[in-house]
Amino acid sequence: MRGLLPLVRWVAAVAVAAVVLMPVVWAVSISFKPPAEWAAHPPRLVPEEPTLANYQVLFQVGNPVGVVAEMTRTAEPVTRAFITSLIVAPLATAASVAIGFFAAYAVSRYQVGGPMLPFLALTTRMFPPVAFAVPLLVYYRMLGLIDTRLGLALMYTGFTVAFPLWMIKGFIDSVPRHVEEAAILDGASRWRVLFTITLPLVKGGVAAALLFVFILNWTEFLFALIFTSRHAITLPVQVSYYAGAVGRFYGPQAALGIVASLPVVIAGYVIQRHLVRGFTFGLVK
Amino acid sequence: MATIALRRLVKRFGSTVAVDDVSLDIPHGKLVCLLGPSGCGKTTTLRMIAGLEQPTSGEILFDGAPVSNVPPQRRGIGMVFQNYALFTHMTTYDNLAFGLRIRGEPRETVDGEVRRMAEVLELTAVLDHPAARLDLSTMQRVALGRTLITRPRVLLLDEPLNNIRPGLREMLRAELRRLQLDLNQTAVYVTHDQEEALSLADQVIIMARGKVEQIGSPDGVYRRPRNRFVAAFVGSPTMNFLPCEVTSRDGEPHLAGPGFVIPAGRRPDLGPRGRLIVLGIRPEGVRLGEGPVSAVVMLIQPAGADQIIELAVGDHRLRALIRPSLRLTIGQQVALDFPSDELHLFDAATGEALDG
Amino acid sequence: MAEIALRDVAKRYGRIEAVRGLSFDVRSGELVCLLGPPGMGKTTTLRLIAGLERPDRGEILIDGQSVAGQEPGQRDIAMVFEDLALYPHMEGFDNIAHPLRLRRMPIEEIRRKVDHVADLLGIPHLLERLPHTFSGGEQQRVAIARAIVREPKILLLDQPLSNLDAKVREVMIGELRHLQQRTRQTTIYATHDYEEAMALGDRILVLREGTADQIGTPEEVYARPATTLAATITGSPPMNLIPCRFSGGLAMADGFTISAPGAEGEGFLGIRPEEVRLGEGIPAVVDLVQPLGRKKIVEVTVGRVRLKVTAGPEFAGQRGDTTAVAFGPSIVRIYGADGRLSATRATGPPFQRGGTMG
Repeated sequence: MRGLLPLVRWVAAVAVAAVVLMPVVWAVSISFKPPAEWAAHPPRLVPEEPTLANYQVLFQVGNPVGVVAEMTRTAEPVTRAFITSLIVAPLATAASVAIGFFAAYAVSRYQVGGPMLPFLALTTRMFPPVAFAVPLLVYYRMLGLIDTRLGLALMYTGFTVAFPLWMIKGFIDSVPRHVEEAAILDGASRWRVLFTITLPLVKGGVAAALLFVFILNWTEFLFALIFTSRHAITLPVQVSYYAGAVGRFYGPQAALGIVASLPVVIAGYVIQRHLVRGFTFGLVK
Repeated sequence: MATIALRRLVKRFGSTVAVDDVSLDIPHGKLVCLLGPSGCGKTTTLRMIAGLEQPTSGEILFDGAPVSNVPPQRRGIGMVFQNYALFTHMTTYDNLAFGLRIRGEPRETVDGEVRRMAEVLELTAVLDHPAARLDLSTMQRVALGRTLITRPRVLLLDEPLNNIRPGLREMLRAELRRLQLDLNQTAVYVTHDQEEALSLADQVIIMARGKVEQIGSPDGVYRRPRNRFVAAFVGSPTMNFLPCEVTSRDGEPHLAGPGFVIPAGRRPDLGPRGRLIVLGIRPEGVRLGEGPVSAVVMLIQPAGADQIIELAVGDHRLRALIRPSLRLTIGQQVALDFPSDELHLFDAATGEALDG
Repeated sequence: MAEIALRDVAKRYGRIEAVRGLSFDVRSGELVCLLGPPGMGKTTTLRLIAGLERPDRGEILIDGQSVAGQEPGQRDIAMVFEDLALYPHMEGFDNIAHPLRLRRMPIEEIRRKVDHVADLLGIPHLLERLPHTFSGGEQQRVAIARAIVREPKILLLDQPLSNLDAKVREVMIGELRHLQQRTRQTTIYATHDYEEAMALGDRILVLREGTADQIGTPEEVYARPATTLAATITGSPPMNLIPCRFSGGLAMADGFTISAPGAEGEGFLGIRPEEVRLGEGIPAVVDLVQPLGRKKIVEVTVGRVRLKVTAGPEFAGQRGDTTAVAFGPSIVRIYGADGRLSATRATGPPFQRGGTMG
């Protein structure tokens, strides 16, 4: 009995992983296949004639090589959208988590805004986002922020800030006040306490918030679609162009999907070691 | 009648041995304390008696019959936990009645039993109060009453006074003991507090690292500890220990310690000259005034009815408990005596007591 | 070295008056213990002195200067919290060095000072470990090391030993007393444990509901507790307080009478358990015997009065046995109905109505 159990667990884990990872694996496979193999029957996991053309076409202007030429009529090179996303998402994430952290500290330690504030902050997420679209369009038009990267970053910051506020507040609540007071009596300023004592103790929560908000920002579609037209198009919008195009372009679509996912995977990899139980080690009680 | 016997009980969790070959007998109507530092196996032993853990090997007998196949709820035990586990949304009455009601006892029986138990525990006045609003001492009595009303053969208590502030704790301890004596209730009480164990128990079982170190009456374990561990664990302030060597003077056995030689008294087991032993003496056994040991006063701590003084004997420190009226100053030279009937002698290597 | 003075200090949290009109002085180099049950304002008093709270009224003076305008960091006060508040993400060395680093002390000097206090407290082996690997006693020592390393003017200790088990506490009390005698650091130590207070305090301040019930040496507080609270919070077991009616030079309890000249009205007679003798005097019934090794605590009933008595280990009585008790001729304490000590009187032996006994 006892010998069998780990084996059963192992098999179950592999089965779950296979189900979850299959689409990803398939997308990777297609992204390296020439058009003839995209919908070949029977399907093959390993491409017979592997090619990088699907990736090249994403970043090229003008007539790309060979069989995928038809696609260029409908899609811009992805470079610009990629750069926009690489600027907007990290910028908005950093701003959102920074503001969220300070807000969480203020709410947790000084009850700023009263007991309802954290809840009120969440209400921005309780309406369908479309409800905000029209008024925001008016403002953005007046401010000249339509179709700008700054405009998008500001909007993302505002819409996501409730998440880091909630996530980090929980962590700060569990840091005993005495630890901070001890540092104050040691002679540290409030700011210094915040950065040398509190922040290291809640870094698990901050890391989790960073990753969570980054994924939200990176994959946001609706506002990017409404508020951009040419200059500040983001990657998800670009992906949608491909999906809506005439004909089937599985190869470039798969390649774009992979390219679009990579930053999230990298961010997740960098942050994950901070995620696991950040801080409560060593506190008495 | 309810007697419990443990026979060569062993409990392993993975590779760690929590309880290591424990055998003991708990007579009817007695309160037995399992005493030891955390991790000594006392709670695991209690949980095995309750049936909440299965022994790895060995046997538990209730009234001579093995209970290994009897589930906890059919062993006839009552258990009181550290946090009382009262149903705080119910009144005292409903808390007391709970155990009888789930057994489907008729309403009149339940009512009669609840009122009788409330009488014994002086809870009659608070029968209608919600348990959440009772004070700690009353809560403890309700918790006890709720357990006792089902007439358990054995009452098991797992550090029930741990979270209660000093002062109140001593009061509750006394109340618990009075009740147990009056009901003649067989009980097993787990604690890490030696004072609690001594003051409550008919019999103290001292455990360390899963093994029984000594079984005896409170007086017995205090006066005749079987080894250094028990000697140091029982008693407050802690027993003093000094390294000594067996020697003889004028044909009589003596002990040579750091800077002193004292008579060893009549001890047939002292062993050859030159044997290394550890001399133990309780703080209240140290006599100040005259004697062969010279010491310097290092520290004076008033303690109300007594004062505790710390003394330097050579490189060693020891503590003496003396009358509060005695005036001493720090740095003062004093003479000490260790009367031979106050000495506890232990083998230096094994820590076992020499039988005096 | 510094003197502290509180003048009519008060602090309320919402509807709760934590400290009300508290005044006392701490002399330079003295250790004063704030003794009181939980919720009596001990912690609040320390936090007010540290500057972590602002008083609603009254003044706090350090070396004669009001500190009202000073931030906590400017007062040069170190505090050890009940939960110790070590920085969990810093090793022992960094925990202790933290206050020195903030003062931009050169690293060699920091090293020297940290090593010095680590030796003093016997914790050099903890310097390179994280707090979660420390035992209770070790956390304790590191917290104290961090507090004293910068030689603060004032050291505040808030029930620092309350989470330790009895044996470790016993050792730590001795060590703290040694440390205090060596450093002569002006210290205020809050505790609800009278043993700690008596062992450590040069003087004890008994706090009740945010005001001082009594301030005096351990011996004074033990011998003449100024209130019934001071009487019952000191001693183990605590003082017997026997409800009495005083009249005509007699104290009449529900079971015996004793001479008590000069007192009138309702009140309590205060007698310490070790002042009662067993086996002589007026008849009593043994209610409970609790052995503690070197002594036994015996509860007896005399008439309807229940008394706690400290007996020697040789006492052989059991629950239900009859015995006798006597106290005096000695000093007894007389408390008025308001709980304040009204007199201490030399008294004769107790007797029962209808005849003198014992």
